Amino acid sequence: MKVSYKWLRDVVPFEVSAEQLADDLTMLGLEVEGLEPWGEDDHILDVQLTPNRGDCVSVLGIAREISVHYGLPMEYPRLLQMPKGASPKVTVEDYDLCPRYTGIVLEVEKLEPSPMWMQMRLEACGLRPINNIVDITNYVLVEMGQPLHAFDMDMLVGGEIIVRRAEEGERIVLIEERELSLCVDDLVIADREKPVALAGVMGGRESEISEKTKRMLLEGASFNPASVRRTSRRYGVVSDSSYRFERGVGYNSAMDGSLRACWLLQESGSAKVVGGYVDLGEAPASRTISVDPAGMQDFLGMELNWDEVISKLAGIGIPLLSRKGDALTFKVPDFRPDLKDEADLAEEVARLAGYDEIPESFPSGTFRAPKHAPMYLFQRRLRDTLTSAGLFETATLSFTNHRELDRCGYKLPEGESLIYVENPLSEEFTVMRPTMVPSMLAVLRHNVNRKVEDLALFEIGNTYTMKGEELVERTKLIIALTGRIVPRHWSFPQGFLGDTYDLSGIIEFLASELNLLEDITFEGEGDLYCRAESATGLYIAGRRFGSLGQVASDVARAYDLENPVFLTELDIIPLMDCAREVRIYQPVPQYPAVERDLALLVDEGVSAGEILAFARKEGGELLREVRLFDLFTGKKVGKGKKSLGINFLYQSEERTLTDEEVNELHRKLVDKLVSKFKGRVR
Amino acid sequence: MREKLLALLERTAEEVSGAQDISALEEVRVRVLGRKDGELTVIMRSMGKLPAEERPEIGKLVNQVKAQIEEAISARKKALSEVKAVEVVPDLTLPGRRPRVGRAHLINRVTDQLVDIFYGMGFEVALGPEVESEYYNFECLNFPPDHPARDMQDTLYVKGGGVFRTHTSPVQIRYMLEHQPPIRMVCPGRVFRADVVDASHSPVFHQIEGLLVDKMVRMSDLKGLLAEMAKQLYGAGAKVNLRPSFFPFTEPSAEFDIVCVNCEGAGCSTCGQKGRIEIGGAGMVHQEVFQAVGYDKYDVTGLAFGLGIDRLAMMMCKIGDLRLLFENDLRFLAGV
Repeated sequence: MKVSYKWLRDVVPFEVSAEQLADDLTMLGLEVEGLEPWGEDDHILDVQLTPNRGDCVSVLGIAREISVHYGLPMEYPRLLQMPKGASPKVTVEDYDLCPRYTGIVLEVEKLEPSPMWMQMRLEACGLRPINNIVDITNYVLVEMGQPLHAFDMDMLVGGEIIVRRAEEGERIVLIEERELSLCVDDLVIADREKPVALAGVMGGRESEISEKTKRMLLEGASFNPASVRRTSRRYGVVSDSSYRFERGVGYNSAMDGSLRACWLLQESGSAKVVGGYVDLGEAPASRTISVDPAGMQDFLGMELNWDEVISKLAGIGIPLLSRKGDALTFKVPDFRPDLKDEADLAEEVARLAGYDEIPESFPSGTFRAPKHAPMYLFQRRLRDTLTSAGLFETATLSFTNHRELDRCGYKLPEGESLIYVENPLSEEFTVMRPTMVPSMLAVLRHNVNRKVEDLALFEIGNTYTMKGEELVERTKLIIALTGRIVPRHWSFPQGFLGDTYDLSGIIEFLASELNLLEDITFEGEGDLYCRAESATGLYIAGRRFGSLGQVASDVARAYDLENPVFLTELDIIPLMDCAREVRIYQPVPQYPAVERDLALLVDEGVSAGEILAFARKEGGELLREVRLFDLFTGKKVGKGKKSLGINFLYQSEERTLTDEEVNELHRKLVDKLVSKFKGRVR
Repeated sequence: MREKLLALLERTAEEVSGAQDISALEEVRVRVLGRKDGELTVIMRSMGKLPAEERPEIGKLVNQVKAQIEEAISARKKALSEVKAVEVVPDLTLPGRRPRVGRAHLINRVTDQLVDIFYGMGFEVALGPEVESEYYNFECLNFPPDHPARDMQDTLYVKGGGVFRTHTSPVQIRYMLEHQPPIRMVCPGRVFRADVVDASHSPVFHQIEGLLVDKMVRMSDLKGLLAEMAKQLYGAGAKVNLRPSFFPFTEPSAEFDIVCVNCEGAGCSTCGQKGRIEIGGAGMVHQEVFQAVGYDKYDVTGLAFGLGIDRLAMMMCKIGDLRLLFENDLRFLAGV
């Protein structure tokens, strides 16, 4: 809400500068977001009110806080005496939605622009001056927070008002010229035939005040906050009136507001009250809150001067009703629907004393050893491992769209569907990502387009799908490599381009760090965004948890990526389930090892992994390690063949092995390898 | 025998001085002095066959030859290593070969930093789903339907029901439903709002919230806890400032600021002339929330707080544009 500094000072005679006032209001919980000079000697304060402070959406409401804070009196505006005489005809059909309705009839004496001072004040508070009558209703809205509405009495069919729910499909043209088709949930102000206003939200065009208006009906009412809010949102019509009713307008101010407007109308010679008033509704029972002073001090952790507390609470309209033993009972004013229990009052007490006065203490109480969620710890472990392997972590948004998913050839898992955003902000963000592949490829493109071409990135994030009725959030890890894996250096000017083995090596490293190297295998088919021949599935303990491979060239091209891109995306839950915290100590060998090398020529189709696994299995317990140290194909070995250089390490935990015994062991193993894989020793 | 020894000495001396590197030298040493079948060793072993009167003289000679060879080898070894040292004098103006180590994303590093601060005060991390029901995201947290409090958070809805959580508070609800008091927990995570991407808004950002429930938790404890956090983040001189505010799930509620470390409250460009940096919201847990999770049967009070990690990270590293955090330019990722 925008409010004039000078206007506030006319109500409470404080001396502080606008800047100081802004700071003080902020510390009272009425945050001043902006402060601008206005005219020659005024300032406009932009007060950002929290939704619970409907009582402060007015000059008087803010002034009430200021007067208590500075200990200064405040001047209340003058109201007209209750008029006597015949009352206008009003019927309220739904008191739940309209707890109070008051009406006073006035005769219009002149319709003209308001005096300058009033126009200035309205403009300072962000309202557009219209004419003397509408301006006075708006003036009271700003001054007291009570929305009012003036109807052209002669435009009301039957000269009466009925407050009722709209009929389905009933129509109204609003002051702002929009035509609405209403529903039964809307509360309307109607004449005998039709709605003339959308209650608490906006008046109708037909019955608005015009040059022709001779008699007017001034409405001061209180409407159900939730109902006003629903109607206002249903049609997207937000007004100064609906803003205030949504936040709750006190029961009492309906009549006070009207009488204030009548006083201003008569005083300015704009209109004259004719006849009496109508006032329908039943005042709500007054509410009280009892406080245990010692308990409140404990709760806030501060000592309080209760005489001061009581006087300040009274200042903001919360008087002490009674004192019984230690308990204090306070009356809650009708304009503070937000105050319900002792905690609410504790906030008022702390606020008025100043949050600055609350001391700093440290929680005592029970201390239990904290234990983080395993998922948090595991993500941290993954992050540590992957960064130590030279990868940088990215953070991308959780949304995607069909175009991106199609572009990378994404296929949903069997029986799962996408999750859509109901109210997306743009075409880009319509789908919750079922995979991080598109966002990672977009990150690569962003960098490559800026000539940052050597990239080794990862991200840990959630992906989302629907499985039947069930929403599935999977935490995944994605790793992408492109360009050089070893950067250019003067001693090695070409650097080293990464390939699939850098990626599989990272997976192996990760598996080794998680102590489950033995449990992970590369097998089966890869995902569609990869070249089929280069891709493989990832398995852990017999369960597929992801895939790895080189991104297919059409997908890469769609993301402007020319260098090969290597990508793996995997579920981290299976990894987490299988990961081991500790390794069991394996005794360091005490006796020397004996090495033997073998150059084995086999058909190209025989997989190296199979040969190594076979050797490990058949080598006997003295064979400690089998390593592939060379691999080549070409003219030298003949077409369709490949040569593997394999290193064997024999070692005993009990003694030094002799050459003879190793020769014997090795010869037997080589024979088995040769016969099993139809190979030849080179 | 004598001639044999002198010839060996001469030849070995030549070979030693001719050795161009340590391994060649080692080769010579093994061939001559090797314990098993070094040439000199073999000669020494055959001394037993000599007539007794020749033995002392030859024995003496053998020792002399051995000493001379050893000396020559060690001198050559020293010379060779000196030559080598001269060859590799490094030019340290050349860039070194740095180890390749990556970096976690700034958001996660700041998250971990905050988690560690609170871990030290007994708080444990809990996580929860990012797509939530309105029940956990709003109703349990005392957001009445049709109340303007719902406008405080522009919500993204899931087609067919549910919301993208607008805060990590539903994790607190889920945690309380599963645990008995006393409680100390923090919940970091992604949250969503219907905000268009610009320099200070994003539909996705990150929060960490904390909850402490116990007998006799005081509002002053909240202030003390946040002050401790500020000190660990910004140093012993850091101060927090609470301002009254409103959240449906806390009463009393507060915004908390850190008094600007740069200008100590006077106002400067770092804090946008405010003298304080707005960090987050906090308060004492609302009774309605305790009721929703069945905690009203315990004689407990609670405090809760939450802060935006992205904004904190931006302030810590003086980053002017939120978009940089999600753009993932390698130069940014490696630079902060």
